[in-house]
Amino acid sequence: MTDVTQILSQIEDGDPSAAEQLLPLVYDELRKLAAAKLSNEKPGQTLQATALVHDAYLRLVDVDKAQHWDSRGHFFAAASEAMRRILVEAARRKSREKHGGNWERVPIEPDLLVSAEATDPLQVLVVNEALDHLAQQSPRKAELVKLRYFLGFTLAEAANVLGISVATAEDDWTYARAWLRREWLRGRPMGADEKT
Amino acid sequence: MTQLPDSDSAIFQAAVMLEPEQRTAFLERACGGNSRLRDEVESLLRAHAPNDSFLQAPLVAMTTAQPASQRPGTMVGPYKIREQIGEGGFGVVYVAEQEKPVRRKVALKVIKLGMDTRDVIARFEAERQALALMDHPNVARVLDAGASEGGLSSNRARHVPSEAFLAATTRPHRVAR
Repeated sequence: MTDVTQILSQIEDGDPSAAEQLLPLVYDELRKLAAAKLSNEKPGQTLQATALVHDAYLRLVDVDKAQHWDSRGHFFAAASEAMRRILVEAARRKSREKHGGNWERVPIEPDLLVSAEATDPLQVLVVNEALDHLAQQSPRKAELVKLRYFLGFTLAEAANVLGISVATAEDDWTYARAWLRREWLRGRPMGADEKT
Repeated sequence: MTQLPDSDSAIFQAAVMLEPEQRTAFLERACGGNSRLRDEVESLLRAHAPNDSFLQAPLVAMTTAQPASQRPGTMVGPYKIREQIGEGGFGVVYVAEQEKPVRRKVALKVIKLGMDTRDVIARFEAERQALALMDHPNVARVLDAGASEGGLSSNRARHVPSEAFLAATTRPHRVAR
């Protein structure tokens, strides 16, 4: 088994390939934990991404070894990306069902997760795409959105992970939210804007 | 007055703090004759809606009825899954059965959902080509590669992926010589 602590230390040392190795490990662990947590639950139970990710951190990272450097920052960056993929995939699946995708989807992975009940899955997909554009322009703001939207971190927690002040995080959030909302409104069918 | 902010994000931040009726005059001064900058900030201000629910609550995941994981009998393309025999970071390998045009057992590697990024697909394709070039009794032979039907759900979600898969002969020693 690959040592996550060691990969985190390689990221800290500036090894660019290390982050790539981390993502699938964190992704697998999150899915596994989610499956374990949900296996005894009734359909419709919600899952708190924040708790899940903290569990994954404790399980995968040797906290004593990793305490001297920014292991949490690197780990949560990978975790927010992994959670993003899990949730976006769930939204894709849901939107396909909703919009009469007449293809039969082959459920290879556990069919555990769908996106928040109140959220239009299409909105999740549009935000997901727009987030990549935002990341090109303002990587830090995109990271903040990932931590808050996909991991459910509070503003203060996210600011801490990103190493910025809460006030800066608040400014970033206001901007990023307006930016993404603009993209969402742009892509909507004509006449749908007024309903928001 | 101190120096005016000059980036779109700084101007936006400052404008958000103002009463709506003060914004026009502020933008006039902050953007000068830069109409592109002004359009950008104005479009952001229009999209800024503090009371709207957009992104206000984090996404949460929910259980669906039944985990459908690796159900034997699931069809991937023309292959029927029997059992999982391996798992890597990006893909899962199954023993599967092909019925047409010939009946045989195959090893089926399927990229995990959510891991189907362009990079991973490219790596998968490279693996397929590398295997296809090799013709040796100890190396699995590629039989087929493709994508199961994922389909497009709407023009908005244009990147709906299908499940990429790679089918190869099962164990190398089973390859007929």
